[in-house]
Amino acid sequence: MEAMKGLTYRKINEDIASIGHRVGKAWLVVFGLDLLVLTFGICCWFYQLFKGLGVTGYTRPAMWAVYITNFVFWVGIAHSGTLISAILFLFRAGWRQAIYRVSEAMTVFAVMTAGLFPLIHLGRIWFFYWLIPYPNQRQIWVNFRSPLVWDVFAVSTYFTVSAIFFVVGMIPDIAAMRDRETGLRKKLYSLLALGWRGTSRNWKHYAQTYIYFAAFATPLVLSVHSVVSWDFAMAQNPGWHSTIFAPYFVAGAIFSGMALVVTLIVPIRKAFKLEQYITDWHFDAMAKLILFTGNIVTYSYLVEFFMAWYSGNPYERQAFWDRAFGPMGWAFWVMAACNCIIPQLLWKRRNRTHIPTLFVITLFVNVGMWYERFVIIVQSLNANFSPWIWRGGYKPTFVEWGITAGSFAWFFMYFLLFVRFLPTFSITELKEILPRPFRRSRKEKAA
Amino acid sequence: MNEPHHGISRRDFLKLVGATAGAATVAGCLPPKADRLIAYVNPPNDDIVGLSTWYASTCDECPAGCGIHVRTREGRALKVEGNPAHPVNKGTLCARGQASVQGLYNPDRVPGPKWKRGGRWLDVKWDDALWMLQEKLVAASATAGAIQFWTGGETGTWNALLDDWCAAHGAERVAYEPFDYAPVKEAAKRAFGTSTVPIVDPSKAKYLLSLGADFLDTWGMPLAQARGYDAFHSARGGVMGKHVQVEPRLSLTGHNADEWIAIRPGTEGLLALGLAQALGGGVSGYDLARVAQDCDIAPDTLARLVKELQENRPALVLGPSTAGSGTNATETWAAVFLLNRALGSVGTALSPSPGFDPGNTASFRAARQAVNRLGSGNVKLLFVHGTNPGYWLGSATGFSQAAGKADFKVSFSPYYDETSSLCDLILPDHHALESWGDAEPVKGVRGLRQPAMRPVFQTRQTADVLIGLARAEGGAKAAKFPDATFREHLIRRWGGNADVFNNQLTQGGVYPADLPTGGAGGGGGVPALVAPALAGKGDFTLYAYPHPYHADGAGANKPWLLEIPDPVTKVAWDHWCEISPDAAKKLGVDYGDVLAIDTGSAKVELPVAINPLMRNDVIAVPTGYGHTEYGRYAQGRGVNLFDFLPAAEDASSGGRAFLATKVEVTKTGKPWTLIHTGGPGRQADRAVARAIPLTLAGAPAGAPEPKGEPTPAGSDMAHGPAAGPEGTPPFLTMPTFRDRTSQLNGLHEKQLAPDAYQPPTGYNQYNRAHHRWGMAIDLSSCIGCSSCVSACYAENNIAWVGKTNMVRGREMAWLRIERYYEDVEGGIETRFVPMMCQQCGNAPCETVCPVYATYHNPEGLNVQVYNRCVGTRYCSNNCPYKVRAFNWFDYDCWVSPLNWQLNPDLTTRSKGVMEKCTFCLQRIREGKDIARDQNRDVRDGDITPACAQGCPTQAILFGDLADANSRVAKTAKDARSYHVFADLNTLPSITYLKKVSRRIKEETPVPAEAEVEA
Amino acid sequence: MKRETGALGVFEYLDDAIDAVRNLKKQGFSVQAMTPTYFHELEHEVDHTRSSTRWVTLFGALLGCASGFALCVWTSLDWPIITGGKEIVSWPPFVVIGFECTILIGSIFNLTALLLWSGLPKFVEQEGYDRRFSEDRIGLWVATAPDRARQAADLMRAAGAEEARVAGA
Repeated sequence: MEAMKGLTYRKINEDIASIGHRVGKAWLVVFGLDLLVLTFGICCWFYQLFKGLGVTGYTRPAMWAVYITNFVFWVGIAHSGTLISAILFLFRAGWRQAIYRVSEAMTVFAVMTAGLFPLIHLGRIWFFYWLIPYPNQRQIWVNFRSPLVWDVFAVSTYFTVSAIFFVVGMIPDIAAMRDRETGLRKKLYSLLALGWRGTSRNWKHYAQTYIYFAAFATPLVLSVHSVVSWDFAMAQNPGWHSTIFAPYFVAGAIFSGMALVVTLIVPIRKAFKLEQYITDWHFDAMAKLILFTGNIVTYSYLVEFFMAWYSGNPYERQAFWDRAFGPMGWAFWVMAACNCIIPQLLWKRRNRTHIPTLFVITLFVNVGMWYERFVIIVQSLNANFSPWIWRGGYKPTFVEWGITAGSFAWFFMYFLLFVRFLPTFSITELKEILPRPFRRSRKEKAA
Repeated sequence: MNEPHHGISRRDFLKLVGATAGAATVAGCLPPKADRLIAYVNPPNDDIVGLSTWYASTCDECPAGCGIHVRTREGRALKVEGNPAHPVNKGTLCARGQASVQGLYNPDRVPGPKWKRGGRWLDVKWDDALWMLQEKLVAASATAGAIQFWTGGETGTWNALLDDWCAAHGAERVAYEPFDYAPVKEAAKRAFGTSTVPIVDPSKAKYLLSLGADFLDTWGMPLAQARGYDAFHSARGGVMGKHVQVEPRLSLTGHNADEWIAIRPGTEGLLALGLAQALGGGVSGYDLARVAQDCDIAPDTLARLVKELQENRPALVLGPSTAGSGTNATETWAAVFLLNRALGSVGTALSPSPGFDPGNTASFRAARQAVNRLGSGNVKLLFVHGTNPGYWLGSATGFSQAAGKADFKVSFSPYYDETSSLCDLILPDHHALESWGDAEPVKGVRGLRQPAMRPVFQTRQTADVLIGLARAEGGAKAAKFPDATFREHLIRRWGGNADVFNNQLTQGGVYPADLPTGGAGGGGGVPALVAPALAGKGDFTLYAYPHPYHADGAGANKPWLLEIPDPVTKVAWDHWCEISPDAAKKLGVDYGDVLAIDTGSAKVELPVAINPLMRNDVIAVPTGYGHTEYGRYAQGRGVNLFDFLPAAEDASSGGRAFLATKVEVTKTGKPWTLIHTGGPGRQADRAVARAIPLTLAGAPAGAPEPKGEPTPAGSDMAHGPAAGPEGTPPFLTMPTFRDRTSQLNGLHEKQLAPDAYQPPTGYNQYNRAHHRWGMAIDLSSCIGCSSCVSACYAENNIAWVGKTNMVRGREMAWLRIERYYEDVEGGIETRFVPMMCQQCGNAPCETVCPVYATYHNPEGLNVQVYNRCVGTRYCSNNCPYKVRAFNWFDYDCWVSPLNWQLNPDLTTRSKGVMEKCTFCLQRIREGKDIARDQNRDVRDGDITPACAQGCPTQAILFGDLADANSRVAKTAKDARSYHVFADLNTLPSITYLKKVSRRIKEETPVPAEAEVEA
Repeated sequence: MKRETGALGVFEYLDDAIDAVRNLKKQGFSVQAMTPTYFHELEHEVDHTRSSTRWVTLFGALLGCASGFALCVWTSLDWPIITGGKEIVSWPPFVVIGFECTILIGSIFNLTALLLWSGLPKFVEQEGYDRRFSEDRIGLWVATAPDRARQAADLMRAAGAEEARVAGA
């Protein structure tokens, strides 16, 4: 790990724990702007609440559109976090330590954002709790055959588990920060650290349970986005009713998630001068993963079209013809450009390690993956079974856009607070990558 | 302050101002209809709270005079349905009839007597208004011809009363309506010596040649004709007459035809004579070659036509109705009658006597003369009732200016229409559903009209007002009117025995079982036919056709009729013009672009709807739009064609010539969002609307059950899955089969002891079910008139959403008529599919609902629980038929008093809730309750959903699929039966019967299905 | 409460600490290490037994799985409503619920086990704890009677502790 040259345990503590103090005025400005956008989004939502969903551009047959697109988008974003922290942990991938805390935070906040949209999109949100399994109205429970109920379980489980994973992982670091701080922050951290002392007893059970968290989170990651994909695959709409959806969505999720991780880490690295911690080596690894998943996604697109043709099913054929060349075909081509073509640049090592290039590419990927969900949802609904209902058009109004923007603000609000007050990088795990503090080299010891 | 022409003295004025102020204050302190608040302390005798009371009456929406039953609840008329005994409609009802309740509760009705001062309408008391009118009347009736009384075309007692009253007051009566039938009547007089419109019954013919008669839309007695047409054309039992429609622009009627001949406008008579000559009708000088030339028809087509006419006698021929009647209309019809004689349909399929009497309407010519007299200034007092010359003749004949010449103008219109806006006094009449009266559309068919409820507003029936005025004058005039009220007058006219009369009331009148028919003598001879004179110049002929709902514009202020898409173009809310695709290409316009139409004297702009079924040199525009008054929904919508068309008339009869002008059509480049419901209009291999060649139709029903579907013994789902003979129809599984194979199967073992208490939950709720409601829809019968759609709106409190929402496809209709064009040999075939919730056995919508808001009820219905719905809209996504409607807003469409029409048997739906067709659950409930009260099981036919009830051709059949002997169960086994999207295995409860088509050789294969079966 | 007494050693180097632990254990001392990060070498010396939290986690997972399926089946039978012609108890969709509950309950049990077994949260002062231990120093705490504490301190100093003292006396 030549990258880590010149780092000592002490320096790590100083660098990481001090980030919260190094944010400065800029942080306040950004946070203020963020709150403004959020407020606008909330106003749009209230407007929709009082007037009715009609203030959006929704129209039959596009009964689902931007809101569900956002839901899937954010759930997707959430995935890379757990992937990095759990799966790569089990695979002992060395480059995860430096970035997993950021991506875990991203996961938790993304799920918190995603969770809003199924509610925002409800016709009668004031009865949202009827989706929760308890004998609510006239002793009726929920319909466990409905993929939406699966969502309720999958997303809430995913939020709980990833939040636990996130918090547990932070305990030793918060303890470290506690030991550096004074005054109010010290009190706060002492509370959060739960009195962690790094004793053998602490470490023994911590190490064990952490593995199990990872072991739980890994299948969970794969299941959650599969379940989300089944919202569509279980319905019989042409363009939705397909067995490829689960793997295809999971790959897409990791694809978009990794992209956003890069998008987030690049500015942080710059702002807090963490070049020593996050190096070309890290970016290279992430870029490779983006390229890999990106190609899986591309492959899925091709398979979808192939199957539509090969099945000879007129509904499917029509749906996919419309998808590319129909009235809203442009959305498909935006998606294809951002998800299939642009990421191919990452075959070149230079592009993988040239931060600005990589940064821009990830921005495209984020856009592309949003459009992927938009295309899958709106286009498929528009090309439904009954030709009489084909309308082909769907134009979002300012309400949808406002609420979407608000959701980004909501996400970044949490993220900014996280950067300010919590260990943005894992102090203890960074120490794990440094050479052990031996007085003698192993050879002398053996002798 | 004192306009010279305004004949009101200072004294009157002061008095009236006082009175008005008084009226205003009184009105101010009394809550409107305060008496209703305590109505049910002691309710009316025949009114039981919670139960419907039905009143037999007669529809007043068009001259056909259909018998109706008005359903009332707690003293409010809710819905109008056909009177099954009445010979005109035999229980059916059209969209206009269904919408009459929206005329009754129209928010733009005149709430009480109004007097115009300084351009504003002031409230006046009835007594003051009448007192004032009395004075004018006495003064004016002194000199003959000083009073002009404009009325609509009327029949029966009211008509006679008007005549008497006018005679008594030396008033000139002008009965005018734009669709006057003058040419037909005139031609009939010449040919048969009658003065009525011959009654048309296609069922008595083997062949139907319609030269532009839209006998299923507006012309004549559409419901009677539709019934006859269904018998003639629906191919029950494999027999199907051929219907050829000869029209420049294919009407709704034409869309049902087996062949379309796009004739050059105005040459129909020529064709008739040509055919007559070819068939030896004693005509000469019209050899087919020339006719083919002039009519722009291929000669071999004509030859074939002649051949077919020869082979299929009797053949019925009809002449052009409104749209096609030009300056030679009478001769054209004379030629048509001549041809009918030659084809032997007179007296059977076409019976001139007694014939249909659309009312004693004066011709356009007579009306113009009356207007001139009015303009001369001799007319001091002008009465207007039941007609709207301000709209129909406003600038066409200068009625509006002429009316200004009269000193005092009184309107009896219940609405603020174009005419009443010209008047000084409005004494609003009752709506037909609040009035007494009778109608005699056909001699011997006498329908009675009675009030179904107390007046909604402070209105008085004009008949009573007139009687009152006459009696108040005393002397000879009073002597003419011995009865104090119109009701008493009516009883006298009907025999004078109140008991007998009441008995007749319950029947809705006195009439034979069927329409009287009969031939007539007379000869007429060969008419001297001349080509129609067309004003203006340009490449296009303006083809002004009556809108099937709005017709002459009377229906234009009824939201239902605006929201329900036009059956042919599927345009809603807006006014439009139609041109052919080629013409559109030539003009470089697309759907919705605005075209400028120029007659040379006038110019208007209308958005274009492209219609593949019309000639390239014709531009078609529906009538009934372009109101400047008449209410919030009607005003400012498009163009008033009655003003726009040049004032031309048929030379012989003086009837208005609607085929009057050529026009210059140019592109304006202005965009317009013209609502178009219904996608591309093609099926894209989906086989939604299927057809079967006539040669295959009518194959014997009932066949061996397809393998793999045993009928379990002891199942109360008695009958097996329907299937025809091997091969046809394709494999068809009824939902009842699904019931047997799902949990519903074998539930009976689990059944508790009959005497045990059975909780409302558990399997037993399913095995206690006796019924499995289902529907069979015969596409061969459906004519696409959308009467069922309006009935559905009326029955189920369905909100109308207005243009802005409809542009986004947010219409709430539970039932829609899908109109698909299918390419067949020799052009395009139209197939109409009534599409509503299919109540699937495997309902895709049910599974995906997270909260059980929609589920499968024990009687096989796919029920939607509004209170439970949270609005995820997943059900709609997963519904292949897309028949679920979502409440995007709380629609505030029931503007008071329209909300009085809401059906108390079901709720209105709030925002955020999904809704859909329920098979009229409330009617099923009612039917079962009645059966239970009578301690019997529900009988087949007890229960009829609104759509099936009104259907003019009875294309919709509802019943219990679990009862093997029910008509629906039997029909579902018909050889033509199929399910829409059967390949998706949704097992719909609605079985469609393929349209029988002359124009296809074999069935179009269904790719998806083929794949599934393979 | 009576303060815990014993000896504290502060080490810079891991191997020194490991030697110290070995020697102390020979003398029958029970040692508790405090480290900035997880040094498996050291932890193994201090206590080589495996944590038993895994049984709790396993139990939680199984419980979750069972309860997930139970919930679906019971609620479906509690008020059987037929939707889409599907069986009242239709297993395939229930698998999803069963799976998610497995993960959820499993993780919650795992967390509980972690807290209970490792004695968190613990807001009383840890005897001998030093803020350096969360930074770059390793601490060894030998809980013992004051008289033997001195011996332990000597052992640790001998092993190379940069600081060793008797505490809590």
